[in-house]
Amino acid sequence: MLQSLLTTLSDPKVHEAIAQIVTQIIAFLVFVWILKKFAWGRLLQLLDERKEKISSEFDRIKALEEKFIALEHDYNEKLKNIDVEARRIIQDAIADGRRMAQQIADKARQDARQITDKAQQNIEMEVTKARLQLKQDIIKMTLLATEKIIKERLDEAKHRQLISSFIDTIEKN
Amino acid sequence: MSVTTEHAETTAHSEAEETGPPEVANFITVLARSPLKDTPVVKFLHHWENPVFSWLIVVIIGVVVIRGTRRRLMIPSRFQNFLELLVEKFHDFLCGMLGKENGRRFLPYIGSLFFFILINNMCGIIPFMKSSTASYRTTLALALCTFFYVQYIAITKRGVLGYLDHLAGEPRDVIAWCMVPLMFPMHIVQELAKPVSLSLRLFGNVLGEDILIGAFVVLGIALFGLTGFEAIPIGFPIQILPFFLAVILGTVQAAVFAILSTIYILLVLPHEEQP
Repeated sequence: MLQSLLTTLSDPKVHEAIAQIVTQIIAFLVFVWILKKFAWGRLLQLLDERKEKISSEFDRIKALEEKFIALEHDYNEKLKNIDVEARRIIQDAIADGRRMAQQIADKARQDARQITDKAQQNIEMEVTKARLQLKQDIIKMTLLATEKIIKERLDEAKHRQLISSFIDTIEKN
Repeated sequence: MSVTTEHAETTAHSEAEETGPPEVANFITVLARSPLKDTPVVKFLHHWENPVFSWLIVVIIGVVVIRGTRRRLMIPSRFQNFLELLVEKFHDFLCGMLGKENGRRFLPYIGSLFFFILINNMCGIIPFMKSSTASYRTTLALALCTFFYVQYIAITKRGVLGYLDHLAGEPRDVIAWCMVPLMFPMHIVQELAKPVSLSLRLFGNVLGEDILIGAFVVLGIALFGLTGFEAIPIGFPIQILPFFLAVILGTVQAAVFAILSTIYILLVLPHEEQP
């Protein structure tokens, strides 16, 4: 059997056929190597990288979208609060204004009262003073008139006291 | 008739003109019939016609692929996009059959096998080119590559004993052990039949297409001869009709070869690795 196999292999036609088959095998293996090195490997790697990049971009976009939605919500809330805040500030300002106006009015009223009181006191003091002066003048004139009528010098201290008590009695009545 | 036949013979030549039906002439057969036919280069090319066409394809596709993938752009050019589409579709197809990990591992071999056969098949319809897959030596070479690759995968994945166990039908009980003397040679024959069936199927189909195209070329020339202008070396291009058939069959045969190779790989994978 081995002999017949060797005889077959030594046949030039068989030899040539084997040579061509081996050449074709080498050609195909070179083809596989080229495609593996330059097509399949590179392109699959590129596809993977692109897939990963797109995936990460989508994740990033999704995260940004969520962030923007949160920000939008936040801004809307703030916008709503801005109205409330503005209203509150105006109300506070109005209240402050009213309070200040009240304070000013109170102060003015108090000042006016103080001024009035002081004037009243001055008036009263002036009246008292005038009355006292008037009393002194009346006493003095009464003494002078009485001295002229009786043509005699009176005891000034005693008569001044009498006249004064008389005037006081009149004032009381 | 004589002029027409002469045109037919010049255009539809066959390297086996003594033995078989005519095939469409390619640039090597044209050279072999030219005054340069006795030069050593032409003699060499004519003698190694099929390997020359295979190597020509390897060189052309190699240059195209290297140029096409040299600048790997994140936003691809049209050509890169086309290559990516092919790679991705084939990758998805193989991953569907073999699972993600194995699909990716065997993609370079199966994918290259498919495109090598497809491009070789399509060369039959390109003027002055030839399908080297119309030669049994080429298809046998490809089938042997698949055969040895499958054996290599089986042994590396299962181990020698594991593979022998697989060939014996994985006997686990008495009846199975009794069946081993039957199962083992049957599996051996089955394994040996795979490259034979793969190579013969591809060879027969592609040769048939080429012969059909050759016959239509002859017929076109003969029909043109009937118009009375037989002195003009031209024919009706009725070989366009089998061109469509050749495109379909060439693609189908490349796919069948690649799919069967995938199935052979799948069959020798350990059960836990099969999807």
